Amino acid sequence: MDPCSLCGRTPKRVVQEMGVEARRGQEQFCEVRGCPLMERFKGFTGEDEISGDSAYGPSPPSLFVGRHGYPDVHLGPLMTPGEVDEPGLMDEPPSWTDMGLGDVLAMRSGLIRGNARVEVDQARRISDPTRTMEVTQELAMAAKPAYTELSFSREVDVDLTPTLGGFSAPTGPSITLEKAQLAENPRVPRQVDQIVYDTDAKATTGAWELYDKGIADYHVQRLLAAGLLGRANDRRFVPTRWSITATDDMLGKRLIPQVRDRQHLGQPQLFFHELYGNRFHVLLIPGPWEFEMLEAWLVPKKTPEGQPPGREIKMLQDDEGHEPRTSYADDITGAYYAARLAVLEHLTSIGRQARALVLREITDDYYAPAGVWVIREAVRHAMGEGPRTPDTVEHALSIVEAENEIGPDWAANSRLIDEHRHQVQLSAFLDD
Amino acid sequence: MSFRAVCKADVVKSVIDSLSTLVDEAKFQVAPEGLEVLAVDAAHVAMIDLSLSKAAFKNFEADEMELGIDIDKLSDAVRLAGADDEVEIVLEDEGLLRLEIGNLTRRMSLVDTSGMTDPKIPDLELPAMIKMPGAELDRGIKAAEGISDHVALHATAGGFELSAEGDMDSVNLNLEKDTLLEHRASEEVRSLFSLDYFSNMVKVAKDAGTVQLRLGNDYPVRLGFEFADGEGEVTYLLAPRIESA
Repeated sequence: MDPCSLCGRTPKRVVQEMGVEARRGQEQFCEVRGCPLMERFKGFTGEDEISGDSAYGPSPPSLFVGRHGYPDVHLGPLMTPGEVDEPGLMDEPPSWTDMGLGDVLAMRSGLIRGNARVEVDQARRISDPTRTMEVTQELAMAAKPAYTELSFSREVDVDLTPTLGGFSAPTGPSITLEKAQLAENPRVPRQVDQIVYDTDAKATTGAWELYDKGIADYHVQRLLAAGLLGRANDRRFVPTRWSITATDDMLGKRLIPQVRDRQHLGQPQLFFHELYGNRFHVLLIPGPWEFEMLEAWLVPKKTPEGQPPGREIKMLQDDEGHEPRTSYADDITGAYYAARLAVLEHLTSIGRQARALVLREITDDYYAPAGVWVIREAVRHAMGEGPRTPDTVEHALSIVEAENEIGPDWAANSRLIDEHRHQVQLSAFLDD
Repeated sequence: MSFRAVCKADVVKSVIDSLSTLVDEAKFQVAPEGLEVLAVDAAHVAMIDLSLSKAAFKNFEADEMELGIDIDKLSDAVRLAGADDEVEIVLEDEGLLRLEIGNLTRRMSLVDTSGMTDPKIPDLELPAMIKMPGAELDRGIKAAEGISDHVALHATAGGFELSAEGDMDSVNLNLEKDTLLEHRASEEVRSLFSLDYFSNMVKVAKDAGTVQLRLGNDYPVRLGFEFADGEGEVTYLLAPRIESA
C-alpha cells in the first residue's frame, strides 16, 4: 500500500476505499493519528471527547446505515451528547452552505454513530423489531430533534474525529450499541406517517408523494435508508450511501417527464457558484432536455527525474440523452444524480427544458470530501443566483475557461458541446 | 367513427420498432386505405415517414381519423404475442383502444393529438442512390460502432463506402458497384452521421431484403425499406454532422 500522501506513514485505513468521490481533488490520505489531515480536523473539534458507557442528548434526527457486509449491515441513530443550540441543523444540509468546510466537519464530528448489526430485510419485520431498529426508524420519520439515549456494550473513551466519505456527510465516531432509547416522542409530519403506513405503494411512488408535499430530499433519503418506503415485502434497510443516490435519482426521474413537456429555452444561460473550492458552472443550451456532467481537477504529473514537477488534468464525464439513463453513472457517481436533481428543480420552476451541462472544477481548497450534499446544494445555489446570458454557447465556454484553471479540455470532452458544434438539425434543410 | 384492424403481431411489432427509435408517442393518420405516421425526434435531427396499406391486414375497416398512441404501452401490450399470433385492434370509445390477442384483452388510453404538430418534410435533392441487403449495411454499422460515434457514408461512380475513424483505428466497408443491388451516383458525395441515430435505424432495417440509401454532400441521408411483405414502408431522414456548425 502506498504511504499516506500527507504524513508518509502506512495508512491504517485509506480513505479512498470509500469510493471515487472521496478522492476527487484530494490525494490519498490516511486516518492514522497524527496525520496532518486528522490533526486539522481535531483542531476543529477542540477538546471534545466522550467517555463512559452511555450518552444522552438530541438526535437532529439522523441515522446511519453502513454498507460493509451487506446484507448484514451496521446501523443506528446519530446523536450528539449534551446540550447543543440547534441540534436540528446538524442533519440539514441546506443550512450548511453558509458555514466553512471546517465548521461543517467540526459540527458533524460531534454526532456519535450508534452501531448495531442487523440484516437489511429485518426492516419489514415490524412485529419483531429490536429496540435499536425501532428507534432508528422512529428518528427517520421525525421532523424535529428528539432526545435519545445510547448505551454502549463497553466503556468507551474516544476523540471526536470525523469519519469521512464521499457520499454521506461526515459523522463522528461509531460506537457499538447495547441499546438505544428515545427519551421523548418524536414529532412525525402527517404526510410521512401516511406514506410509511402505506405498504402497497412502491418506494418510488412514496418518495414522489413526499417530495410533492414539500418533504425535503434529505428527509425522504432518511426514510428510504430506514426501510420505511415501498411495498411491505420489498422494504429493507438501505445503506446511507446508496439511499442518497437512489433518492436523487428517483426525485430527478419524477421531474424529467414534466420538464420534457415544456418549451425550449430561448437562449444560452450560464450559472455559477463556488462552494468549498468546488467551482460549478451550469450551462443551459436551448434544445430538448439532456444532461451531462464533467468533473476535473489537477493531479501531480509524473515527470522524468530532473524536470520540474507539473500538474495534469484529470477529467470524468457522464451524460444522458432525452431518455433518462438506465445504467449507473459510474464515472461521476453520486454527484451526477445530485447535480441533475438541482438542475431539474430549476427547469421545473421556470417551466422550460434545455440541454444542461454541469462543469465542476475541484480546487485544492476542497481539502476533504464532505458528501454529495455539497454538489446538490452548490448547484441549487448556482441556479438560484440567476443566469448570465452570453450570446452564444461558444461565448459561454470562453467565460467558463476564463473563470477556471481548466480551459479548452471542458469542451473537448463534452458530448453536448460536440453535438452543438457539429450536429445539424433537419430544419436547416427547409426552404423557408 | 370506427376503427377495427386485424393483423399478425409481427406487423405491429415492426411498426413499434420503427417508431420507438425516434419517439415515445406518435400520431397515426388513419384512412380507409391504410395508415401513415410522420414523426420527428425531440432534437429535430431525425424523422420517420411510415405507411402501412390496408392489404397488410387480414381485416381493416376504418374511417378517417387521428389516433395518438403511446408506443411503450402498445409495445407492452403486444410483447406477449408470438410473431404469428393475430392481434385485433379496435377503437372502443373515443380515447380508448382495445387489443385482443388470443384470449387476452388489453385496453389502453389514447394520447391527445392536439399538441402534436406535423413535422415539415424538407424537400431534398439527393443525387446518389444505393440499394443493398439490410444485413450488409448492418454489418458495416456494427463494425463502425466498435470504434467511433460517427460514420461517413460515401458514394462514388465506382460504388459505395462506409467508414469510421477512431483515435488509432479505422473501419471501412467497401462495396463495388456490381456487388450492389442498385447504384446511381452522378457525382461523388459524402456525409457524416451520428451513430447514436443511424445504428438504431439500421437495426430496424436489417431484416429487410433491400434497403435504399439516398445521399448528398453534407446533406441528410434517406434510408428506406419495406416491411409486412411489401405492404408497409419506412423512410427515415437523418440530418448530418458537419465539421463546424
